[in-house]
Amino acid sequence: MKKIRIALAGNPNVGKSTLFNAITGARQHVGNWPGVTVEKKVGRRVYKGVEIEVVDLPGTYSLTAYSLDEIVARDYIVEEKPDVVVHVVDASNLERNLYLTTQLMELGCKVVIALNMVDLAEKRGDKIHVEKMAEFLEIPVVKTIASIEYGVKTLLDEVLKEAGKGIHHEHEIGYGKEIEKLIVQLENIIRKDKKLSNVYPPRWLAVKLLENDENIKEKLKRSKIKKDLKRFLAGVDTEEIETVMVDKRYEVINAVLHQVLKRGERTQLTISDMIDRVFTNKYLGIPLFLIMMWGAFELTFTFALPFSDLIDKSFGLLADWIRENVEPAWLASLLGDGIIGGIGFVLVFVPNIFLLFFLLSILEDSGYLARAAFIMDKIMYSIGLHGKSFIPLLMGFGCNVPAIMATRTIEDEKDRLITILVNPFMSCGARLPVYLLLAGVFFGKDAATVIFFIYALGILIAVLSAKLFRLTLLPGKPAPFIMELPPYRLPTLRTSALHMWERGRLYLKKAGTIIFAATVVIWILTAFGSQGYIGEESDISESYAADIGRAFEPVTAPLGFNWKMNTALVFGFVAKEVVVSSLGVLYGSESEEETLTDSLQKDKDFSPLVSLELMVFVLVYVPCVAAVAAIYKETNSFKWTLFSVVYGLVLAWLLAFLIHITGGLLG
Amino acid sequence: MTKKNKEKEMFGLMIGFIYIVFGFLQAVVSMGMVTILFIPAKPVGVLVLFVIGAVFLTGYRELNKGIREGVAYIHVGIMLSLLFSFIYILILFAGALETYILKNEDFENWTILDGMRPELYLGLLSLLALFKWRKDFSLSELRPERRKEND
Repeated sequence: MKKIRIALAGNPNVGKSTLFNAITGARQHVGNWPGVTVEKKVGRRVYKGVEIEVVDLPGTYSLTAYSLDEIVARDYIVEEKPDVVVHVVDASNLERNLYLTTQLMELGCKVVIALNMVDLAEKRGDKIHVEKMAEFLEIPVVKTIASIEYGVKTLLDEVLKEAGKGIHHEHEIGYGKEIEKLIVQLENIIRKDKKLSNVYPPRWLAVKLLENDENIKEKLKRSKIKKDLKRFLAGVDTEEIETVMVDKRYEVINAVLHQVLKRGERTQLTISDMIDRVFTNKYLGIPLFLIMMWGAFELTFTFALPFSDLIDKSFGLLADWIRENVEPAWLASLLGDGIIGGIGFVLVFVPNIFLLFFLLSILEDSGYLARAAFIMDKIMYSIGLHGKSFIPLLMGFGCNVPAIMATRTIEDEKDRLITILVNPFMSCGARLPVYLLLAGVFFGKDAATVIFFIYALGILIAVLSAKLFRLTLLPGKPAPFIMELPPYRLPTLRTSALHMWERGRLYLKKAGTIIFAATVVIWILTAFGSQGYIGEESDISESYAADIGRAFEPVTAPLGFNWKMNTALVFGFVAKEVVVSSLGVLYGSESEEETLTDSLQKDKDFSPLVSLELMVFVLVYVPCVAAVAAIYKETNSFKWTLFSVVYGLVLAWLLAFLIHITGGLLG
Repeated sequence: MTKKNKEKEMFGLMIGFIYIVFGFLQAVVSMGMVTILFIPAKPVGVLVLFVIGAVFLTGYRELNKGIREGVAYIHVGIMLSLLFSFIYILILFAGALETYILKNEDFENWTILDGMRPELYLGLLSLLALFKWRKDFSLSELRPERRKEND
């Protein structure tokens, strides 16, 4: 079977990932979160007897490498040379999107334009003459609406046609007499290095060098012509040339658009305009963001409660049945108290976790979260963070690991490092079960309010830490931020449910693997001590688990934590949900009749104050092992990774102590 | 200004004022100074009521100044008000489920009236407004258009 390879390129938010799904049927997250498509995503489709490999490239505005995303996309197109590049273009924003088209044309690759979201453009009254556009650009143009898979077959037909064509000629943009002369001179130098000119089109390389592209200059450092190039470029004002080149490209774009686009007259406010006017209001934007988040948390806790109770009751019945019917006693204890008790307490929170992810998906898919980043930009800048940092921070509410990886789109190293270091303070989904358990037991109907404030505290700590780092360790000013707001879309139930499942299944997977293993280990540590197997009638305060917990008592005694809490916190380093399963095992071992809620309420060491301290401690102390690994990978520094761990631990202790003292004074 | 926008302006003033008043009442209840039927002691609810009220009043102020785009605040205010009403209907449903189906001890004395909150019942006013101006609330623009490949 014939095989071809195509790459999907395009600006962020043009529906590239949606088109990727429409072509391949693969499930992939859709949105404009930095990092979502930073990795190469590959899918396959057999169409008309040809196997098409589809590569989804990160969203980029140009092929001038300003960020890691742009470098990844450009390097793939230039070095891997896909058979066809499908350039996904937002039909409602042609001028800006066609800038990338001009660069792809210059690169000499075979391009097919997918004119996506034409429905939006046409609803706005825009008329696009597709045939004329294809004629002027000398590139096939196909109308698509990726969300409903409209135009996908026609697009694939054009892709196959284009892939079957012979040698493709490079499209050239005339940059004016003076610059063209420099380009020719540079091309002549570049051609002296055959190896180089075989990989990169010489004219394109010359253009990039005149644009002072740092990434290309870096690549040429190993070339034998590096001295000639350096000498030549020393006498050229690249800054001025870059500006002229950008102008020339837009001249070409505007000349084409003048012929192919008739803009509709906009007399009425659209729904998108209306929502934007209110949600991005200077004064109302942030309060609106807060109440939207509050609504999500209120639903997450209160609406999911009966469903969690139902699971809780089912696990309770199962554990009772095991205790009564399984022999020998140690096996009953392992299954009933250890596995069912431990994992059960984690699975009880599945409705909450899934509901939170569903609501966040709705906010994300509707386009609201991009607005949230926009309204927060000014605040972010004032606290020393880059506007782009907001999205990785917001992603931290789901899981800190992809959120830390998502910082790759932040160009400035200091901006990026600060965002990585403060990300663990954004309360991830894994910490939610801890809050749900403790707030549910000790704060009753005010649990949702307490949890909301814990989340808000996490944001506050992140903000203040960022300011502190900016003023001390990483001084400087954040780089300016330009962002594009995608149009509002009504999220479909199917898409939001799919996103919920994609994120939520990781929680289930973790319950079946890491948490399961940790639960068994904790049970063993509670069932055995220095004197061997303790047995179900004995006191678990003689167990190894108690020894571990007691080892930390000198440090945590001022906070009012007992050894059980210490042990749970130690195991929480594996995964934060393990704090809950550990408490389930440790408190479940004491009595068969009592629920965990009863056991916690009866424990004289526990009180609303201590539970609040414990929640704050879990919020701030060391990130889980996966997040620590992500910090190390992204910073490539043992020093910063260690700093992140130590800073979190010290801050957690200080905050818990502060709450302890304040609570004690207030009685 | 059109008659319809004048009506929306007056609606914004009226409902915005009501939300703010209920916000103050809930703040007083939350501080434990008084007990008022159907207004719970929920401090965050105060913020919700104030913000929705502020959205409506901003719409009133803009329309009153002759800024036609101010109608956006009335429309979005109605949507927000309905959204929070819906949220508390779901929570009411969850409470009923805990009480009557799961027989949860924590919900022993719970009745439907315990689930009544200003965010829930004030949404009825917005529902009436939505019904009256339903043609202005078409969300078709936000939905992807249905069309066949070869049309």
